[in-house]
Amino acid sequence: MKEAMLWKKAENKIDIQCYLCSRRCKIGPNQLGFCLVRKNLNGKLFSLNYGKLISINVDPIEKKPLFHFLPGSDALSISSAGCNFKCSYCCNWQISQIYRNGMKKIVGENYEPEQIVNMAKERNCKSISYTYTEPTIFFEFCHDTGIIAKKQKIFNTFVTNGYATPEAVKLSKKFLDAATVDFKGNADPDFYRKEAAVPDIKPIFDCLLELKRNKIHIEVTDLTVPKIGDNQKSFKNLVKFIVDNLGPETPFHILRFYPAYRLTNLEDTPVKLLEKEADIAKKEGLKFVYIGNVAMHEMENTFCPNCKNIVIERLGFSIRKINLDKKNRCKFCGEKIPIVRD
Amino acid sequence: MTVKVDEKKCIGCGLCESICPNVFTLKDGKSKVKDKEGDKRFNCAKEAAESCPVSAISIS
Repeated sequence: MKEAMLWKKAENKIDIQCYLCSRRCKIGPNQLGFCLVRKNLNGKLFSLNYGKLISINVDPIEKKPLFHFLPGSDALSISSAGCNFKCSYCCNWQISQIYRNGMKKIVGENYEPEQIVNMAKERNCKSISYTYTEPTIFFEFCHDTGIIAKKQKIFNTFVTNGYATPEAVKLSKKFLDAATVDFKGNADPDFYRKEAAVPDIKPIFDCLLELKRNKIHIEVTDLTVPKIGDNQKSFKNLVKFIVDNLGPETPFHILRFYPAYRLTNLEDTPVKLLEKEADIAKKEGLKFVYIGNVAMHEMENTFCPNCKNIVIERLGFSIRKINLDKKNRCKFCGEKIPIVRD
Repeated sequence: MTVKVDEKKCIGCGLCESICPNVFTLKDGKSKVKDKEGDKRFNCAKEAAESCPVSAISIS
């Protein structure tokens, strides 16, 4: 347990207003926020799960997915249990929804930030990824770990639902290098409300703008869910937002849904639908469009937007070949490809 | 049938308002019941009550 960041006294002087995530919960004495891991104790907000980690793995950074950031490197990937969303189809629901499903005590093993940074170095990880659940769920630990990691030249990345407030993004700037922002159900507000208990998705767009303003590398994903989360109009709006505000060079990953948690009555997303959406995204101007969660799909490779040759060839999450020179120019035509390599 | 919000429990997340805007509205950061009877919109009020993360909504 540790005193939380990003809170203030609410206007009624009794409650606490948390502004780490865009729910901006007003939390009364001895109450928990929506996340169930932040509590008002004696007029101060505490992060109950500080340093309590539920998973630690070495993953290829491609798994996040981050395709244009340190390709071919490993990321030490950590998370704490809990989430500020309540997605009915969560593929990590065993850890993300554990408190909502009745677990009364805080779960996880104790770690210090230094231990995590040392572990990253020992295992030759170029970055630490705060992932699996939602980084804002264990923000203070991400912050403390991230700052130490940065000093030791280890990069930090978030995999996030994008519901962090602009205030939280500003604070993350001190350590955060890249973020994968995950949209759900083609960014359809109805889908978010029904399937994720999210009242309003505008904060996600605000979060993206703040990440951009702070020059943090961004990749966007969208999970297309057949029948209930495949709205083509909201998909197009999402793509337009990315092109206009984040730039046509922003990597965009269209992800296949597979049945999980409480959404087991649906089929996997048809690959044809994903391909159709990828075509729309390209037509709207996005230069780097990927299809994810489909084994051996051609669109897991990076194509040069100029000569259309493969500049990064992938097989699943592993890199088979990089056809770029030291200055990240396409070996076939010289086109500069926006990829962060160290 | 009556819909009530326990203000002490409410965290003002706005979920009930988005599920059932005819019955709930956010005022001064907390959820308020606009229409205590709920009448025809009772179903969405019930859905909002079930979805409330802090179980602040009661229907009797």
